[in-house]
Amino acid sequence: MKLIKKGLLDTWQSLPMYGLQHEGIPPGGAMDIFSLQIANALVGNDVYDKALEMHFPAGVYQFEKSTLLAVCGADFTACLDNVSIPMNQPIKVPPGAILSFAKPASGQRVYVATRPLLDEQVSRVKILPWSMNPENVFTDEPIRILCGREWDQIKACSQQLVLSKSFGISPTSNRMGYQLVQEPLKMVSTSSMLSSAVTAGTIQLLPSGQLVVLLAGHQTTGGYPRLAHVISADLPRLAQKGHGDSLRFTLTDPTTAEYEWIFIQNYLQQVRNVCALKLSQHRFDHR
Amino acid sequence: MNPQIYELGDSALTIEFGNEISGNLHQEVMKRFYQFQSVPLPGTLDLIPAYTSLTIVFDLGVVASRFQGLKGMKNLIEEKLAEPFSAVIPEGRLHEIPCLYEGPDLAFVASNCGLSEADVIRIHSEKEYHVFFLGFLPGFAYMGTTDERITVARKEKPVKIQAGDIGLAGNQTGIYPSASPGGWQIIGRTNTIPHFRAGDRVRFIPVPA
Repeated sequence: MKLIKKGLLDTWQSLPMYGLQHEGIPPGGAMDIFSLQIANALVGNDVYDKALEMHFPAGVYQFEKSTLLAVCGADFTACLDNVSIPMNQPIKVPPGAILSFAKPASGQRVYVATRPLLDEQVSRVKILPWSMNPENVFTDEPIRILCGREWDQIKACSQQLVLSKSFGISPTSNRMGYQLVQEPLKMVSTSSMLSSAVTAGTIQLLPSGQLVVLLAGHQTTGGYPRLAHVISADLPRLAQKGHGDSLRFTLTDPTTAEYEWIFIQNYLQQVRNVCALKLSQHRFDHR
Repeated sequence: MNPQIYELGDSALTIEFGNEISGNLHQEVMKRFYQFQSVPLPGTLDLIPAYTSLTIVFDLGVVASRFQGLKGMKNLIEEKLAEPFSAVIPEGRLHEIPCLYEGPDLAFVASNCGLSEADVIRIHSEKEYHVFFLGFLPGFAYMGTTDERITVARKEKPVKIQAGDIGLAGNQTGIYPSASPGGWQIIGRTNTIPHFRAGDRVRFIPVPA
């Protein structure tokens, strides 16, 4: 793929890479690892392959070779040669075609997975006849959280506020974290704590009483009170929210968090299996 | 010493050995870091040492489907902590770092602490520091503890800091490995940034301009 016009923040992202956090190197990776994996599955890529993560305005790219393409995550009205194309569906793209994004409809981050079609010359855009519907993951339900170690450092009325009010997302938010917009929370005590590890999903309480939710680009350690943690299963959904959206939180328990994660992993495995089967049948039919 | 183990979200556990910055506590942290590094618990993705704690990040899919989730791992950790310790702890290396004490905040630190600039330089460079852990930026080592005579607060607002800048914050000192916003008081700089490991020792050697 050749870059025609740079987007606001286009990066190649894969699953987080663990194992170096003791050197201060965060795992990083895609913000919405669910959409990343669906995109890779649709084109028959490996689970560890990278895909293009883009924000709006997104970049414009031209294909140099015959390519299998899938667009997942945010709906920015993806177009090939200015004709809109469906999301969550594998598409064969001829050399020379130009991928662009017309206008943001929903979500914050789009994922574009590609795989070169080495044994095929594609002459026109061809939408393959199957798709994946990720609606069961991207619901509008409140974001589920677990209590953090310092949950009791805010007053009961502030705990109530966290679990009942809607939060805005500050426009200064980025891949490191979302700054939430709400009335300052009231603290019971302001004892200083020593820095220790944090993870994606950790909700930190700043001295100003504001909240920050750490995301894919988070630092490895932090010294602010850890009020709560977004469960792993809800991080992709959270990553598709942005400035202008409102967030609500609800308490859940570790067993639910584990169950929901397993559910998503099983679903992704099914998607990979189905996509691999469909792709191999398609290749057989079109020999 | 009775370490506490608590959940950090749904896929990490933190083992807390105490709540003060001390060499002995940190030695316990590093001992356990090397124990769980040499014989990792199932599903381990990362081991993150800090001042008084060690956090183990797990692959939630592995621990939830095969080990009763974090609850099961908590029990396993308790068993491991009770077993006799056998891992080898590498000796901390000593890094001698040439430091040009000409930082933009040196004068502020001196006046804030009621010392001359020469005193600040002498006090900062005569002590050997311990690398407690790496965090904040890739390769940023939290070192301490500094002499209480040169204890200073962080800046209210972070400013732009260059790679190699050496700063103070509270009773900690550190070198910025890359340019970044930062709130530490910058007293000097170096062009030698070694590959630090938690447990290493550091000495700053004043160099003339």
